Amino acid sequence: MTDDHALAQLVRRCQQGDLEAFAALFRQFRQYVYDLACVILRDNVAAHDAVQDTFLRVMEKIDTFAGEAAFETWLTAVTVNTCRSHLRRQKVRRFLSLEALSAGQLHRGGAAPSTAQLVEERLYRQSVWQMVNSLPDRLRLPLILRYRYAMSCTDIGEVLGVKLGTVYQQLNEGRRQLEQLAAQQETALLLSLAPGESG
Amino acid sequence: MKLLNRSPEAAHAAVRDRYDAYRDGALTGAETAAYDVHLRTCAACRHWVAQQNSLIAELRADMPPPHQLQPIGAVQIQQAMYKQIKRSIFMQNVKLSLRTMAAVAAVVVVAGVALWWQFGRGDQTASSPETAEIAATPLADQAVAEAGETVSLTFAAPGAERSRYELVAALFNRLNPDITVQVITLAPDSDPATQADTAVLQGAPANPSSFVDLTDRLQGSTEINPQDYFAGALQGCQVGDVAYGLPLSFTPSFIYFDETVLAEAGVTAPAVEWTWPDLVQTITALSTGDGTRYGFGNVSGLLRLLQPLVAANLDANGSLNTAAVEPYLQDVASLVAAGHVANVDVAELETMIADGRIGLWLDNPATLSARIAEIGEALGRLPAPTLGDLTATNLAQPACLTISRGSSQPEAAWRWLTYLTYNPPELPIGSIPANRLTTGSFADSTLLNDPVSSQAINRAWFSRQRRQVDALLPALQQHVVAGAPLADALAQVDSAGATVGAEATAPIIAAPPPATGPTVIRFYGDQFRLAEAVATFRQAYPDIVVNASFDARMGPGGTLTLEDVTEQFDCISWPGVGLPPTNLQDSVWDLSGLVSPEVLADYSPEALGIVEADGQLLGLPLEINPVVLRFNRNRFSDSGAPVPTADWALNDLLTTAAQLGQTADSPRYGFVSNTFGLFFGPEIVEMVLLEQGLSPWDLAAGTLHLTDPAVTAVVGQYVTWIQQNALYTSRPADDYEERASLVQNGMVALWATRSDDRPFSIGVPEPYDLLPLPRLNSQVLVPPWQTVLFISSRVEDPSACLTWLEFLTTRADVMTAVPARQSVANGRAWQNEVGPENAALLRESLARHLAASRPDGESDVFGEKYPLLIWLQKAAEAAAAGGDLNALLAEAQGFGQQYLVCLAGSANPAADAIPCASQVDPGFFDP
Repeated sequence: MTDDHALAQLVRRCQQGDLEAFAALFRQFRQYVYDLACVILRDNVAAHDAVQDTFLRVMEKIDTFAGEAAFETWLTAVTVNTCRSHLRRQKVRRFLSLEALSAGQLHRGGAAPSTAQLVEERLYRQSVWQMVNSLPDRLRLPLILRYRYAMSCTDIGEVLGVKLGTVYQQLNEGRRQLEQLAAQQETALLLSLAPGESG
Repeated sequence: MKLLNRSPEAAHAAVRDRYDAYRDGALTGAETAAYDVHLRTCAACRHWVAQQNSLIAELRADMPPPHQLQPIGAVQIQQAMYKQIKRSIFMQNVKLSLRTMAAVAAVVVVAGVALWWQFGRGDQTASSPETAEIAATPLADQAVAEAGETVSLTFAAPGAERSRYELVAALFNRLNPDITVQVITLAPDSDPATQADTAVLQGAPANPSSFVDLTDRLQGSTEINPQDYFAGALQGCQVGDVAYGLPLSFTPSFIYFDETVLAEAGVTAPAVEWTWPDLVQTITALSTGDGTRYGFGNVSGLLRLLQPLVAANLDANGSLNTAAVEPYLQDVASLVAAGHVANVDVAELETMIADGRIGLWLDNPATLSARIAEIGEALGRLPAPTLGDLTATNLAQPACLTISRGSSQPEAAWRWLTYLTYNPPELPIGSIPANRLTTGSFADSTLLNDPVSSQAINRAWFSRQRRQVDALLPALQQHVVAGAPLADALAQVDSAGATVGAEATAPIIAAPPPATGPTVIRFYGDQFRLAEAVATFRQAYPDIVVNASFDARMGPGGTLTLEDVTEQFDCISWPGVGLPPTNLQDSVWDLSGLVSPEVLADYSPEALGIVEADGQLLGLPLEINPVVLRFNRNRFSDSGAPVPTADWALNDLLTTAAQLGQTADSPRYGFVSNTFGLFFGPEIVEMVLLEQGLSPWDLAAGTLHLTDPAVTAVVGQYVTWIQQNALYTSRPADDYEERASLVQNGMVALWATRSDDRPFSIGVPEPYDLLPLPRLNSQVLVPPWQTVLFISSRVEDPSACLTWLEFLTTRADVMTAVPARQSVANGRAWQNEVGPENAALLRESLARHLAASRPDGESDVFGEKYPLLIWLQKAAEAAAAGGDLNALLAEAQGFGQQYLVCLAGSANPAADAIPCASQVDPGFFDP
């Protein structure tokens, strides 16, 4: 992600309350944090809030970063935890507004999704990552961290606050469910093609 | 891990368990070797590993591109962080080092500059980002106090904005350890020049010479770059040649109109680039001439529009060049004589505007009355028209930062004011920061992008002769209304601005009053547009700060109850069906005797019934959320079925649904019921039976009638409706996404929903509309959801919370369902939110829902009746799929009877409903 030594210095300067370091840290990692938040929250607007909350938490807690893990892992953990609390809030809201029909499409102010968004969603729905997104967070998050961000299982365990064995189990279970979903999609596709082929 | 020594099954499992560790290189040498050996010898595991590898390859190949945070988004985040940090410092919650705060402040100022330039304002020679950055950092080289000493300053701010200035002062005090600024609020009639070292003033003071003349400081300043300010803004804080203040912000006026009034008159709203003759023409076209409708209100407002012209034609002695102004005054006189301009007092004018009797009027967004604001989206606005060659014609009211001449700390005061002008507080709605570099302090950022507002800002008129011009207004009015000759009228006016230059005695600054903080209340809620309501409340009640949050710690068991929230918050907005059961009295205040009779009288008995228990008033209802129906217009036109009228009943719903269902290649559903007791299938069966004087069960008597021929007949009809796709039913909390998708894909003609889906996108691409709940002759429905406001019993003095909660109940804009207070539900503001026709339909739905709800207010969909409803639904579904209805109902009857026996032996039937159901029917939870 970056030159380790330079990053370690930047973090140390942040911990000392350096004027520029925090701003530099924000510049350096804002895209990464934003992407991660978008992927976890599946909502670009909520991701904005999550980026803000994440960096505020980084400011609050940077003193507690001891440098034992890589900074990126620590930052990922802060981001994931921030997003999880957003997800919890989303769930409560969703429960309370059952008639909002689809939680993925809660747009305040009544703005309908644009055609481009709909097309993008439609394309995305076909992909294996869309299937990842349909899994429960317990399985989804390890898969995202592992395959989108190429994290080691040890780091994933640290980020999610679970034991290494649990990470292995969740990855296995996640992949198993993905295969199952892919098989279902295959079957559905075959069935939808069948009349045309026979006719 | 000893793979080789394990049984074959254990070895297979170990390969699967260690697959990721193997890929991470996290196995020991021996473990890696064992893994490899097993794979070589086990085809099943090789196949499994290949599958995993292939899936991973697919994940990598299909990786969606990274989401890009746009630069403008990054700036917004930084600005929001900046505000948050300022708040945190104020609350002493975040331990930030001084240097880190300054860094963020600097970053945000630089970002603000970048944004400003991005919006094409680079034509003005503003400070470089570096200059702005310096302005945000301490000026340590200009010490105002001896080492170790601290200078104290008072700053007088309007009560409504005090907390905003306190945030900035807190940051300034941290950055400037040698100065302590204390923000104070003065009594309305007291003189800031004698009561505070520094102050923010609206409008020119009566005694400008009581304040330090900043002319020299501005000219020789290294801290202030005059080019950073909007053109002319510095003049706004001058009287004559005296610069009594430094501009902080200004509020541009607008010419407002009610679009519905223009439409009635058949007049098109003029273009933004309009001129005085366009204004005269529009006023004439809008007026009926007989006093029914005036083109403009008031005469004084119309004359104020001419003030920039008057100012431009004043000579050095304050004499008016009447020849240049007279033609415009003649226009006004002619309009007044023709009855086109109202000439009434302000209160009367407001009434006339609210009644749609005024075409155009001059007003200020900061002071726009609530009655006028109720016009809502129909309220249009324009900048002032140009006057001949004059383009800077839009009246702007500046807020000026002053230093009292009596202050003993002018250097510290200057440092504070220069800091404040580059780091302004959050400004009230309608206010623009005078310093163009500080865009982040816009309360309403849309002002920048709205063409009308940006014209009003570009054409802002500031004048150091404002007082002289104001003084001429009565003479001009006398001229145009009473026909007095202009020269005579002007002769009666005293020479304005005479006080300028007169030396006032240096006032004595009073000692600062003891600091008392506002009452802070913690509010749990997530209302629509809550932040706006909080901000408005703060203006009206400066002594109460509402900290709103929707982030509560869950209680044990992973759920969040009202009791949990009352532990963590002072006042609470809580949505639900009926009052939460058990011990609520211990958690919340009894509001009977606290809420005023006027407020109570504003509620219907039904709404209050929700919160009354044992003679206590446990909360204040905010809004009520009845079941409504929405329909897809295209499905009706496809099928030729007529759209039901609002006065429909249950039978009309079912007949219509039968006409709309379609089972052919592309299934279409007539009616889709919804979750959580919103009119779901077995309820419809029960309702049909009750309307015939029958019932499928009698819980009180413990009897079931599922196999009675009359009941079987109705269930049979229900089965047919399911088969014909007239009804698509499912169980509560089931298949939510699936039903949403059917509605969104246009496969449903009518669907039950709650009234509060308004602010959310329903995502139906085809036109859809609202119908009220049909009239029902039974009391089967779960009561409507409602949001109730509570005060935690832990709060010692509930008055601050009560003030806030009562305020909230009057805010139509926070409501997403039907306002519980009748004045709000019948008011224009809420009608504007949902549309007048919809408001009537929603109120009607609420009345019908309340009438059709169980009188005891209990929810039985998830209570004792729930298993019976599910068995009935399962029987109907199985029959619709080809099963024998009689046999299926007999089975349901059998389960139901055993269930009622089980329940009869229970001390807590509601809690034992599900255990009893799964005991008598082991497959109860199966699909």
